[in-house]
Amino acid sequence: MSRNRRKNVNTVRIATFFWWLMVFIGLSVLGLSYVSIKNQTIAFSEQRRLLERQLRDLTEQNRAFSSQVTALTSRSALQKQLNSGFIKLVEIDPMQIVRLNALGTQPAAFADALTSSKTLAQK
Amino acid sequence: MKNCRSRAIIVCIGLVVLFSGFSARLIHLQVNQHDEYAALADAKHIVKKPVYAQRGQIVDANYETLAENVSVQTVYADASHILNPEPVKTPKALAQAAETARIVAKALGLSEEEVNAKILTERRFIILKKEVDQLTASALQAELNKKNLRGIYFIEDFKRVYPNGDMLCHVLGYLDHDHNGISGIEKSMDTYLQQHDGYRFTERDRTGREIVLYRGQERPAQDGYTVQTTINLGLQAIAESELKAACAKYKPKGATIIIMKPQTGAVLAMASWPMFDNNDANNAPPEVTKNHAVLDMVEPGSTFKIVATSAAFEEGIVNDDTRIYCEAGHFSYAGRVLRDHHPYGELTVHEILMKSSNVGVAKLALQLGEQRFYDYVRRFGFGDRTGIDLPGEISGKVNPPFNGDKVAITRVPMGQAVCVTPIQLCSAMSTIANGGMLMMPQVVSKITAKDGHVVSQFDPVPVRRVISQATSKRIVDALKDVVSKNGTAELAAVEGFRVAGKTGTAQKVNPTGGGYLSGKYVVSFCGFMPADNPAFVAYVLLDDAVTVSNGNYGGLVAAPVFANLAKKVARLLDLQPDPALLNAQKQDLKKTSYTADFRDQ
Repeated sequence: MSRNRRKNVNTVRIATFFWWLMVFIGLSVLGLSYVSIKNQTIAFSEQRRLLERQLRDLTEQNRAFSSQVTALTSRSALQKQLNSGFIKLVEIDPMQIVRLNALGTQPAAFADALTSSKTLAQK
Repeated sequence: MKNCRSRAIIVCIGLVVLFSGFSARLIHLQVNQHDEYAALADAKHIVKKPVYAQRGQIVDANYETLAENVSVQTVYADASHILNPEPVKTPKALAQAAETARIVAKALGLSEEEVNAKILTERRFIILKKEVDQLTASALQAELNKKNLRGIYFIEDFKRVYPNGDMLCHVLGYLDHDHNGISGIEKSMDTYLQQHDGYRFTERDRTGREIVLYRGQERPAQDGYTVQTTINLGLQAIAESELKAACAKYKPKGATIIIMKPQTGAVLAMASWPMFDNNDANNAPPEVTKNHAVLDMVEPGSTFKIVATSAAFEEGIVNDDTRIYCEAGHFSYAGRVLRDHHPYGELTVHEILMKSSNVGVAKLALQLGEQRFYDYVRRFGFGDRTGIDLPGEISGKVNPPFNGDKVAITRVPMGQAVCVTPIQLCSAMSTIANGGMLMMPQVVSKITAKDGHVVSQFDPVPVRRVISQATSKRIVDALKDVVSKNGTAELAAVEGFRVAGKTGTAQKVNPTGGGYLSGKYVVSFCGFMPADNPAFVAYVLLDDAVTVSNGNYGGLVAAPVFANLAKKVARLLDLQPDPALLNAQKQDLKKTSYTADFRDQ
């Protein structure tokens, strides 16, 4: 009787069980890691898409503002403002311009003006 | 038991057949039809997204922007997206459409009813507005996102903008609707300005958003290069303001001013009248968009006399002391009479140019002979395109010697029976100013990439030596006296500077009936300053100016325009007046006013 009972007992092969368990856990971890990394990559790519869009919008806006600045400061725009009296152009008298080159090359009138101003300063 | 076994076998066989069928189908789909289904899947998810390149800028010699791009958007609606998922014209769908229409109309400045009506047509591609600026489009997009409304989409585009409006309009040119240059620098430099768009293969999810992870092959867009012109916008502004002032005063049919640097052939300013706004070029009449400086030819009149006189000196036929009898202003040749404005007796070549004697210059050409004179006409560049980097340049019309017309040898030297473009004449005068060396006129100096590296450099191009420096100096001396009390262009004088130049008054050719139009003239002045070391050559031409009777002459109409222009140009280029000349002119002025006062008494 007791022999029969012993025959019916199933043996558990612990080593094999653990081996398969480890394989299962390993595969599970690998799978979950793959899914997690994939999700992260997708999330990052979505962030990248949004950032690229923001960057593009900013570049476009910058270009639009830059174009507005160019239009408002263009020669013809300034000329219009000058004509309307919004800005004023003060012409510099030729006598008031000091050129950083030899006196001999200056117009006589300028040389005279320079001499008289020097004399005035000496007085 | 036997039945049971056979049934099991039958079931097994059935299953084997069934799964074999599935397998066969699977193999058929996966292997045989793989390409077809893969292509279908790709077509659904993979898109080739264009990456648009920017057209290059055009800048002046000092990097002032002349043409640039502004990003714009075309706003369109997909009515099926606005009205879905609700069945069409349910109260909810209608409310959604109305709300979308309200926001869009407000942002784009359209009529709300009109937008709503367009949406209710249920069409899938309704263009609401083109060329919407980037800021407005971004604001509209944000507003739609905030209200969670869909169905309004944007297509990227760009608009060419010319910040200075009509300034330099003929030189810059403009684009067609497909952004191809069709005139001016926009056309001649189109290959540099317009590079290629890029692309990117990418996958989209079911909502149409890009899945960045699955981006495939891509090619970056290559932006257009920056074209730097030789134009100085300050000088251009001066030229245009003088042109406008002259046109307001004389109301000509057309007018042209060109300013060139004789040593390099660089065009510093080029203006033609009438003008147009490049930003609205498509609405300008074709005649107005024509650059008269390179596309129109005129009989030059007396400005052409520089050719015969130069040739006569160069060939040694005459010298400084040679005197030509000018037949008291009445010269019969080949049965036709050639007249001078005043009767002259014997004149030196210097005086022929100074007094602008038609008879004198005709006699010089006769001494040269038809072939030699024709050679010089061609050597000065007449009858050939100058090669300026502007599209459609014409070559003018110079008949070979002289098509059996015996009178032509007496008419061509004084600028009749020959047609030249303003740029040709300016170029010929530059040759005199440049010591006899003909330079190719240029409006483009450099092509640069966005990162600043030079793609192409347009160095000055010497075409040929036309006359020697000694001859050129003799002509310059004569041209200096043209701008004097004894010459024909006293009004071209500029205080403190020696000006050299030549006037031209040509009767207008009758384009229909042949011959000349009575009382209609093309008047011009071409000169340079300072005469002994020229900083610029300027050409002023007015076609059919309205003046007082007997007042339509180059010396009376075009010369003062040149003087005003030259005075301002000298200021801008910081040319310093000659002190001795300034004093002499002041003394002269005092004497004149004293004489005038005396006479008054």
